Amino acid sequence: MADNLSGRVAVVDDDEDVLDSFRFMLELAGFSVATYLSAALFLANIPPDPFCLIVDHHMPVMTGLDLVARLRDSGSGVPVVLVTAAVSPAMVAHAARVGVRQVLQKPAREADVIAFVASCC
Amino acid sequence: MTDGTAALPPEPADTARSLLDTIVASSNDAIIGKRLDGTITSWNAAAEALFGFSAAEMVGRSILTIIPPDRVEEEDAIIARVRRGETLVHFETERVAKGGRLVPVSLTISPVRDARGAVIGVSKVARDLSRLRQVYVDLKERQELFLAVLRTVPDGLIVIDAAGIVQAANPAVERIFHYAADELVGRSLNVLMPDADRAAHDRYLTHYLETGERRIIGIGRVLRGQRRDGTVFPMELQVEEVSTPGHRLFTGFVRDLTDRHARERRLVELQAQLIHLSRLSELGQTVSALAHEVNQPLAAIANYASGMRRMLGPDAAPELLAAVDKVAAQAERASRIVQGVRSLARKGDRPRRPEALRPVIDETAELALVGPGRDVTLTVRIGDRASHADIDRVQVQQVLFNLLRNAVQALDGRPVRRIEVTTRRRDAMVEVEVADTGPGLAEEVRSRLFQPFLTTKAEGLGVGLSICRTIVEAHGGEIAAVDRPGGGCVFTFSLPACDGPTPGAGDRVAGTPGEEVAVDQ
Ligand SMILES: Nc1ncnc2c1ncn2[C@@H]1O[C@H](COP(=O)(O)OP(=O)(O)OP(=O)(O)O)[C@@H](O)[C@H]1O
Ligand SMILES: [Mg+2]
Repeated sequence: MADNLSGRVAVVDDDEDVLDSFRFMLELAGFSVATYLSAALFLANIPPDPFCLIVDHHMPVMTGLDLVARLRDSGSGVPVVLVTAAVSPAMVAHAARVGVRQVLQKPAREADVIAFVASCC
Repeated sequence: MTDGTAALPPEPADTARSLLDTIVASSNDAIIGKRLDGTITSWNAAAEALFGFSAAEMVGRSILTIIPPDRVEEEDAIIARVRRGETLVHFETERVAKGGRLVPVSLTISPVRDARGAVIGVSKVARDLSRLRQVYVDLKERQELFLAVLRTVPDGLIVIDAAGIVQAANPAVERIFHYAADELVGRSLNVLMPDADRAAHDRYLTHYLETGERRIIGIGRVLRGQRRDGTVFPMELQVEEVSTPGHRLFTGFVRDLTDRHARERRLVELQAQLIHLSRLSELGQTVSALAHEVNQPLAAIANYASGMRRMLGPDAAPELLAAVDKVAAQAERASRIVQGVRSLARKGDRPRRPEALRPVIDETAELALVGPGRDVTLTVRIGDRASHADIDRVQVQQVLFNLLRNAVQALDGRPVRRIEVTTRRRDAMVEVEVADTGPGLAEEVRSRLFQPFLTTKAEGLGVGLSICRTIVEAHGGEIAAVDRPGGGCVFTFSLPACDGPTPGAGDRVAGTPGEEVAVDQ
């Protein structure tokens, strides 16, 4: 793993421990990380471009895919990776429609996550 | 009435005369005497009442006064016959009363002879038929009505006598048993039952006739009927005794229960399937919820391990590096186990097949709308290329059942009670939408709708929607709920589409995913 990585990553997940672990891992890898406990909190505090987004799908009120759809509606083209415990063809198709770049099975491998984030920054 | 003078020789002539006068005066029938030329010679009180003319007015006038113009010839013919000595009995015709009203009458007309036997006049007894006519018309009307009812009732009606012999049967009997009514008349009611039941039925009737004790008479009973072609079916027979003077008759009402029985049997079968399935589903559902919960800490462990590995750097103690790698590996292993259990629970034992959605929806609706859902208006729309899906039929029925039950429950006490089920194609999936006009989702359930044991209902378990999600996800689909514009809510789930046997379905398969831009989440 290259050590000279940088860039901003936003992580949205309804589980505080998961958020903390992402922050720990990504900051150690050299990224600056902002975490959000819900889609609504993220929408209220969207970081300035450029950044990339890691989002959990199974969240209450607004799911990960709902959030991406909202972002696309408002004209944002931010690169997104969707993390979900239940990957299904329907979800992958749906994700592709709203412009999700990649769907990762949760728990996601560090290598996959870092590769995605690095490719965006 | 004839002049009876000649028949009463012992009486003095004037005694006989006054007796006769008394009879004539007090008769309820109009009695009129006239000469052969039609001049009226006597007119009793009943004639006054019937025709409205008094004796003073009529005696000396022509009988033509009370004969309708178009019946003058008839009167001439009558006179001619009486002249020849004939008597006419109960001749029905019409006469004109004062004021021109036509009166239906029954006439008895006899010649009046002189002492030598020559016909010198006519005695005419007129009986008012209007009351009788009215009674007859009323009766006729009632009979028509009765017959019309018998023709149109869906139940068969058979009239039998005390020996069980069919006296009459209505058209419904013909429809039910495939016999013509006149084929049955004169035969025993027995022919409408299978051999095995005939003796028993005869016994019921005999038993009742002998003891008056009811076994079937007056009580409805479900027994087996037999159609003309020998097929046996369930029927309800209700026998009542009809008391008519001199006869003992029985009416039997027959209801064909074939449809009802078939429906009830289907309902019971479906219910059993659903109960069985919901047990399986609850298990699968619990596993699925558990998997989701366990995955969260596993994800955190994996992330922390990755961070630590990076933090330690290449120069750290090799045992420490190895241990951190092992933490990550074990987290991954645990996650794989969870995935494995999850997909195991998912699979179930039933294979998926291409199924037409319409019958799946209809059958489930039939079951879900019993009881409180009876008066809900259900609309089903099958979209273009959205008629078939590759599914485990029973499981998908369970999803529909849960959604429809929730909708029905949400419609309780609502002014508009409508449910719309719509299917539409989206890429490789068929989306099925269940929309209701209920109050919509309560705020407190919105965020955790598909989690188990979440309910706002007193008697709810809160497992309905979580089961739905398990099944839908096992099919590779998704389920979501949104507010319905105009009130109520819409649940949408997706299933893998397959193209039905419809010819021409293939011509648009070329449409590539991604063409559709609309996203409705
Ligand atoms: N069509 C609907 N309209 C309004 N609220 C609904 C509807 N469907 C579900 N809900 C809400 O979601 C909750 C959870 O539904 P779910 O089917 O999981 O459980 P339940 O119906 O309460 O109990 P059961 O286990 O008997 O199905 C309901 O209690 C209700 O508050
Ligand atoms: Mg329910």
